[in-house]
Amino acid sequence: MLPLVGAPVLLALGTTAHAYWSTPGSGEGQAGAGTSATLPVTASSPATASLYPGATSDLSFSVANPNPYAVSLTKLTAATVSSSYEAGCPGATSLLLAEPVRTAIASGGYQLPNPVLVPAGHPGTVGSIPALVTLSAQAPDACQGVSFTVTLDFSGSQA
Amino acid sequence: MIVRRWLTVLVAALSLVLVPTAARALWSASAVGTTSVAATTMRNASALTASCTSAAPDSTVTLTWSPSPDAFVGGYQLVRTDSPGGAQTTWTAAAGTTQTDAPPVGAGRSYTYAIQATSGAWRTPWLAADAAPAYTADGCSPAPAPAPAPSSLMSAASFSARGGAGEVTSTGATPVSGDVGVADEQTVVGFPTGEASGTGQVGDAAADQAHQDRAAADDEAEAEQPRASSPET
Repeated sequence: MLPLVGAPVLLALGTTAHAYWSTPGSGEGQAGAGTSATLPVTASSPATASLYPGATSDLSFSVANPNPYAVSLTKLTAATVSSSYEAGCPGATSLLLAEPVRTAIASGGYQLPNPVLVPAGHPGTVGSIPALVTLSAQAPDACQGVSFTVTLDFSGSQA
Repeated sequence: MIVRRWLTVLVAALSLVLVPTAARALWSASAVGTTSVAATTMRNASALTASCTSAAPDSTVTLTWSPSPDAFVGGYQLVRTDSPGGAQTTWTAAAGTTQTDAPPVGAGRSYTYAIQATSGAWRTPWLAADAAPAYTADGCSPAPAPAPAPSSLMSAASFSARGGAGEVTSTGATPVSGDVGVADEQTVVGFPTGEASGTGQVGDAAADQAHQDRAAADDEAEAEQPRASSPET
């Protein structure tokens, strides 16, 4: 009779496990990956006013990880720019993403040259994407002293 | 027996499903947020001066300035505003720190100059020159800054040979162009034989004043000249 008692337990365990791995989000078949809580991205430090017409800059940021496991961010899937003075210095046409990055994002995502590994529960790991943005050589005069906000979307997985 | 076999098969099947699934499944993750960068504010040239560098009837004006501290500055715009009339002439200096201009000649005209740094479409505010050259009947002014004025010798200027509390002695037919004097009622020896074109001032008020003026000029000159630095001890 023991097996008869144990079977429902095993069945129940199996069902629980199945549900765990099938948390809504992207997945691998029925037992695919789940979805983490979204990691917030913020500026890693106050912006240094260093851009001038034709100048290229790295883009640094800080990523916190509210999840109980480490996360590795590997792709930049979207990047949009706005400026503190859109009327005179439109962000989208003044601060340009590097061409390879723009093309890769349009094709599904830009593979980060340096994946960002964020430990479990970490309040903020600093990442950087080298030579990501260039202030257009034709940037209007009104762009002097303007701040640009870059919204970044990354994807990755549990490390 | 049938039930037991069925359970065995079921457990085996679950194991096959769970083990590989647990081995390869990972949570996907996403991160969203903002960061920022900022553009600098370009700095202009400084210390723009404008002065005439040729005599009438020409009116060549030389402009000089200190360059912007921003290495990305691509050049400078210069503007001349004529008065009367207010006509403006603008031109570009690709690099360097000096330019010349030949404004219209005519008494009563004056010219103001200003400069701005450029980089692409960027411009700094205009910086006006310190002085506005003007064309008078005598020519263009201001002239280039003169050399520092020499010390004034005042009344001592007319003396070619002068003694303080001592004497002036000529040991031959020394030609002296100017006055010869000694303060404090001392003596002048050797004149004539020595030949002075001026007068002899011995112990009089003129000689005393010349002595004081010369001393003051010496002090003034000493204050204006840099001293050789002394070795540190």
